[in-house]
Amino acid sequence: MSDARPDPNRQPVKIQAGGVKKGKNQGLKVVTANDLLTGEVIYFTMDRQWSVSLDEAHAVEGQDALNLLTEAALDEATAVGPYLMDVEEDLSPSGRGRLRELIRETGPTIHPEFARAKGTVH
Amino acid sequence: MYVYDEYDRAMVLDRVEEFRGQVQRRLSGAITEDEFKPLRLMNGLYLQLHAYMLRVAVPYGTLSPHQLRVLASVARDYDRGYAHVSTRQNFQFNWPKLKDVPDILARLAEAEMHGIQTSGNCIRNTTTDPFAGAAKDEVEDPRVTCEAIRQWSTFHPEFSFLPRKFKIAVTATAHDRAAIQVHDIGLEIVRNEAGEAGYRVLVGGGQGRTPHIGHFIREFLPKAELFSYLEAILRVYNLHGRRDNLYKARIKILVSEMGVEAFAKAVEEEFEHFRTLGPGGSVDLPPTEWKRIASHFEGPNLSPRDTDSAAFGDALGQDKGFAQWVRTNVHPHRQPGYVSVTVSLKPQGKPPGDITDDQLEALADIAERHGYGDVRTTHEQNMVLPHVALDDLHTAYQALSEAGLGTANHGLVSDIIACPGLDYCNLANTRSIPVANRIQERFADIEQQQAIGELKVKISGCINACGHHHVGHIGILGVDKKGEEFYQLTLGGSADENAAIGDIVGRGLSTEEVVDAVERVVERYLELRGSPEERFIEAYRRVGAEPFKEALYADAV
Repeated sequence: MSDARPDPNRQPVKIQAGGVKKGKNQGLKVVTANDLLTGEVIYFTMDRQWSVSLDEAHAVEGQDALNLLTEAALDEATAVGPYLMDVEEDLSPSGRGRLRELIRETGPTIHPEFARAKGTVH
Repeated sequence: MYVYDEYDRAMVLDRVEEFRGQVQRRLSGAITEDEFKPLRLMNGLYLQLHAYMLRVAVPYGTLSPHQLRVLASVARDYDRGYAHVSTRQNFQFNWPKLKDVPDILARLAEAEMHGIQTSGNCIRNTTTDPFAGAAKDEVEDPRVTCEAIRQWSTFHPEFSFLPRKFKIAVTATAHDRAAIQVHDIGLEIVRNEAGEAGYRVLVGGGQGRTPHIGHFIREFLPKAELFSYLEAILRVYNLHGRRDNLYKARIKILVSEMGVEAFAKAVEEEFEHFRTLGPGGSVDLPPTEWKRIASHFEGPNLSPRDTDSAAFGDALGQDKGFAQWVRTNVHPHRQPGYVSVTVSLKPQGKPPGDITDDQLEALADIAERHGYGDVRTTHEQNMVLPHVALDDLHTAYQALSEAGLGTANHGLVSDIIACPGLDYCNLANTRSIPVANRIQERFADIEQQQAIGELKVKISGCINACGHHHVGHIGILGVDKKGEEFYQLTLGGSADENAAIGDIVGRGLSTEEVVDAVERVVERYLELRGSPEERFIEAYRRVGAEPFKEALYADAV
């Protein structure tokens, strides 16, 4: 009997990169969302908490990424609209949504006074 | 301006308390985000990249100084010290916290403002000429029609869940400053041969990913029958508009697919149905109600003044900055001795349309001292003082300049419409505002800008076209290419009475290339214009796209 389960790495996943709503589930992902109270950008951590720092995000891939997203989506008391975003091994944003996620991480490029923890996007 | 009656006041205050309860239930977990999202959107509350965004309705762009001060207080107490004028003449706040929004709405409600119908598939804020009630050549004040439409459309149960959002604009002058031809419905107030005011009615215009210039389907609609006719259009759209495909749901697609004649025929049939109901059964306003609404727009009592103002003449000769500002930012008024003034929200290096809390308060003071308490927003993301006496103009200019609101660039290359783009927006592919700022920097010399003359640059960060790039003389559309920002130029667009969708002129340009490209287009225009009086758009229409393409892509390999 063959194993008919779909390959999680080939499944489409919810991703928000400009007009792109779906992407391939390939490579390292972290779960990101917006904070319910403030709208601030947040990331899901290894201990299943939310952090405003991408450095504290839990990066996983394949079925583990889908599972992490499912867990994160259960926490409606904290987060709005969780989705998977692409990251490099050092947790910097990558892939098609790289610029968008850099701006989400660091704040609007036109208002350096509103910058978040990291430097400005160039 | 219109003043709330007891029904308006009660409805808005009730809505605030209703939303307060909805927020509490979301925070307590009694309702899910999926349940809450449409409720917050109905109150103008979006979730953007970094924060919530609250859109506040400014009906037909008219504000009082008191309302400006309330907006300033919201910016200061609940946001980050600024507000933003949108291309629907509304205000937006970019950083409110969810728990504060009911209090913000309560504060706005006390000043007769709200966020109702600033989102969702309903009839949005009806926009108009920012010089309404002051323009020299207008048939009548178009805000009376806008206010009647506001009252008719607000909470209208039949039009609360349309196939898509629906936008109406009204102009009352032959020169269209309200971009009516790129609206779902455009109304031009005209007079018939008997001298009666009525409407020339257009449908099916719009921008977005499939831009259309609308079609006039009625050359003269008696004023008394406006709402029968509007209701007929909306009913045909509601019945036949597509709900299966988000991208084909606007009325422009329905008009295009049905054909203009078939659409107009269906409207006329529905219109006849209303007519058979007679005055007692139709939705039209009785004359007394038109009169009641019009009484709110009689405007200030402007005493006659000499058109030859010595104070104005002296200041023109002595203050070079004032003279430059008068050339671009001052417009004729129907009353001799008065002018209308565009207050530019496009100083170099700032996001187009942003205004700080201090500036809002300064503008409120100036409007009270020199502007008869009347202020407007414009769809080009500026503000207007519609009534200023020539004698007071220099003093007003000095006060505006002191507040950072005296930039002399209305209609020039640096007076750019730009959507929020990827710096704020969830839908954007690319940034818009930094491109606008770099173009402003390139053309920083105001004398050079004035020598170039009228040139409307409009930038959108994605195909949804919130920055109106389709109707820019130079339009710039941000596109994503494998995760990199690129920009597509269009030329020859226009949003006035000669409305046109711009022509795409070639391959997308990298972010490094795009400002040089705009400069090359401007240089080519200066080379080929017949005279300094021939505007960019006129020159483009005369020579076509080819000379500009050559200038743009001469170095391409």
